[in-house]
Amino acid sequence: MPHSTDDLFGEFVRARSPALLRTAFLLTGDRHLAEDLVQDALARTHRGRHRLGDPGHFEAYTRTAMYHQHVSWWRRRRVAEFMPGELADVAQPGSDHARRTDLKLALHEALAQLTRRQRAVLVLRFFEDRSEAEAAELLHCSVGTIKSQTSKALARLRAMAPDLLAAVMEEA
Amino acid sequence: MTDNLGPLRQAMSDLAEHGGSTDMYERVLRKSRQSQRRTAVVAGAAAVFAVGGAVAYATANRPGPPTPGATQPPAPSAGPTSPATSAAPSRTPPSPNWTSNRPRYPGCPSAKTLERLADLPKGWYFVPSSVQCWKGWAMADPEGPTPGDGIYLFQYQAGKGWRYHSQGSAYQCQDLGITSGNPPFCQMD
Repeated sequence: MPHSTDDLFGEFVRARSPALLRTAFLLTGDRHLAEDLVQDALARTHRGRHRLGDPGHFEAYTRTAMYHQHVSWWRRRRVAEFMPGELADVAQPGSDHARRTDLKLALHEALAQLTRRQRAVLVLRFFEDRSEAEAAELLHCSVGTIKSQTSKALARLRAMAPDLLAAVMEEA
Repeated sequence: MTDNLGPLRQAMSDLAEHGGSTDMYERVLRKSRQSQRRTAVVAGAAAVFAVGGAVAYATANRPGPPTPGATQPPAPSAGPTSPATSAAPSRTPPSPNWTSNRPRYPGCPSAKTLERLADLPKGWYFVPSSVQCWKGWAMADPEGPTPGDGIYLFQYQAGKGWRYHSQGSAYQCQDLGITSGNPPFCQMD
């Protein structure tokens, strides 16, 4: 049973990295960028691990760092690394799985067309299931901003990828 | 329009699986140690600057006949002085402030000083050991009742002293007008 902060941090990283990588992938649209983002956020948490005290704060701190870094460091790096090949490899043509893969591809491309903040808001609201208030606190903005960004992001998704939204509605 | 979006959530969840499950532990430790080393080097350099500046200031303002400090370069004299690092010696009369041709940076302010400038929320304070300076910049990590991320940044303005600049979690050096060096608070492209 780990006792030191370092042990607890190591355990946290090993246990939560996959979940952090999933969020980071949605934010960046690229696996390598996602790893970089998670690495930097975790490194920040590692540097502040003694100040954080309670290891239960590690994840909240790391996720906050991730969102902030994503919004600031990636601001000029539009997600250009589309990886349709890599995603398409997962599909089984003709199967129902292929349909889900098509949906993923469309979503992948559509997310990449949004602003970084819109993407962050969608990920927080619809992937992490955060409330508007939680998303606002995490992104250091008002609830009104979250609402308007969500609305704009969905409208933009609808305009850019009508097929995606049609598929979504059809499945619903 | 957030109802009926369950399938969107599902699609996001499916897409997120492509993030992989790389073991990040060793990478994180390497990155963290690398940053700590860099910070330590910068902090050391800042301390040297601060001590050097203080010595220079004390010497320059000492009344009475010039008494050069033991560790200083050749003292100002009647002849032109040309410190090794000075690119273009001035032809102006010798000044008691022998550092006037050099870039001068202020000493690093204390955490308490910065707290007075930053208007921190109630219950928050700056960790004294987190205050780091680089040239005319100072950064400090806030600590408070809830976990937070980010730093506070301050800038020294001639004639005005230290001023609050901004707060954030990951600065781009170019956004701050810094194009060279290795500041501990921002990333170079």
